[in-house]
Parts: sequence; structure tokens; C-alpha cells
Amino acid sequence: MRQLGRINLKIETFLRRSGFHLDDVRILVRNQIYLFFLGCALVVLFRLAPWAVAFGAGCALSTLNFWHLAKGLQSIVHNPDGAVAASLIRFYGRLALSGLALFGLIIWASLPLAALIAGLSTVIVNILFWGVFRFHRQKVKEA
Amino acid sequence: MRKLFFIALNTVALMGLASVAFAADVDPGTISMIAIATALGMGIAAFGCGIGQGLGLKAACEGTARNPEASGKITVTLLLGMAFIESLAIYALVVNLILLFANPFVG
Repeated sequence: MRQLGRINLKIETFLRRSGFHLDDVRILVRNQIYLFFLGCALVVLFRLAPWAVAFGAGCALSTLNFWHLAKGLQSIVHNPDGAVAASLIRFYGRLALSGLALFGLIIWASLPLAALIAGLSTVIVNILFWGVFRFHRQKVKEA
Repeated sequence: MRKLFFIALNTVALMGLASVAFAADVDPGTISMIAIATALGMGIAAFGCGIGQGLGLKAACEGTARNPEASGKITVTLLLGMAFIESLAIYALVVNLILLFANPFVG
């Protein structure tokens, strides 16, 4: 348990240095990174089985998207200069890259679609669990 | 105007790719119906997600301008909303790619 705490601290320090100033955002991104590592572990454990590769690729794609979304949103809301052009370029660039990656994964690689969608859904699962735990903690504090 | 331009461009690209993707042994009527369905599906998804993201960002900017101290909480809520909306757009893209290039009911 203490080991996990240390790893959490290391990752959060890295994220703080990378520009994630808000605690909740940092926790969400940290958990998403854990899910990405879970996807990588499945790929290694099942020796590049197609479903594991699809899940890992979905995890990687959603983690990258979430990382850039979180970083971009912080800069949009907190940047006094606005940075509209940079945000637009970043947003459409990310969208185009995601589309190309999905095109490659679905058409060229012909990976199992259910596993790919499960990997892409890790962000939703992460947010849902974070919300449930937060709600539970709030209830415990109030009681 | 820019959104409309991107939606139109997307539709044209998808319809253009559809004809290349399918072999000639599939009924042309089916191909055209699939292409139209895909274009409509992606267009509607982009339209809805664009409106949702725009409204969310607008409300977040207004909230931050009125109460800068609450910007942290607003940003987290905005991030969650954006992630959900973007996931919907990505799901729509996946479904449309499946419809166009990996359709289980065609071929």
C-alpha cells in the first residue's frame, strides 16, 4: 500500500511538472495512465493476442486524447491571452490523428472491434469510478 | 460557418471513400445507402457534439469570468463533460468506419 502511495506521488509530481496544476485533474490523468499500463500489461501477458492489442491500442488512444484534452482545457480556461488559434490547431490535429489511428486499427489491422471499443471506453470507466469514489468520500465526511 | 465547412468536407470525404472501399459485387444501391447513412451519422454526431462542447465551454468561460476563485472546480467539471462528449464523437466515428469498411452485413 505504501509502495502504491510512493508511485502515486512520483506520477503526480511528474504530472505537476508537465503542467497539470489542478489536483482532481491530476488524479484523473494518473488513473488513466494506470489504465494505459494495464492495457500494456495485457498485451505483454497475452503475447500480442489480437484482442489484447486492440484493447491496448484503444487504451493508448484514449489516454493520449484525455491527456491532451486535460492539458488543453487548463490552458484555455486559465490562459489570460486566450490562445484560440493554438487550441484550435491542437484540437483538430488531435481529432485528425485519432481518426487516422482508428482507421488504421479498424481497416488495416482488422483488430477485434469489441476490444478496441472497450479500450476506448477506459476514460468513461475512469471518470465513473472517480465520481463514485468522490461521492462516497463526501458522504463519509458528512456522516 | 467553419463547422458547416468541416461537416461538408467530412461528408464528401466519407462518400468518396465509400466507393473505393467496396468491391463491385455489392449492389450499388446498397453502397449508396450505406454511404448516405454514414455521412448522415457522422454529420449528426459532429453537429451534436460540437453544440454540446461549445455550450459547455461557453458556460465554463462565463463561470470563470464571474467567479475566478471557482475556476478549478469549473475546469474539472468541464473536463469531465468534454471527455464524455468526445467519447461519443469517437464512438460515432468507429461505428461509421465499421459501416463503411468493415460492415458485417455486406460481402
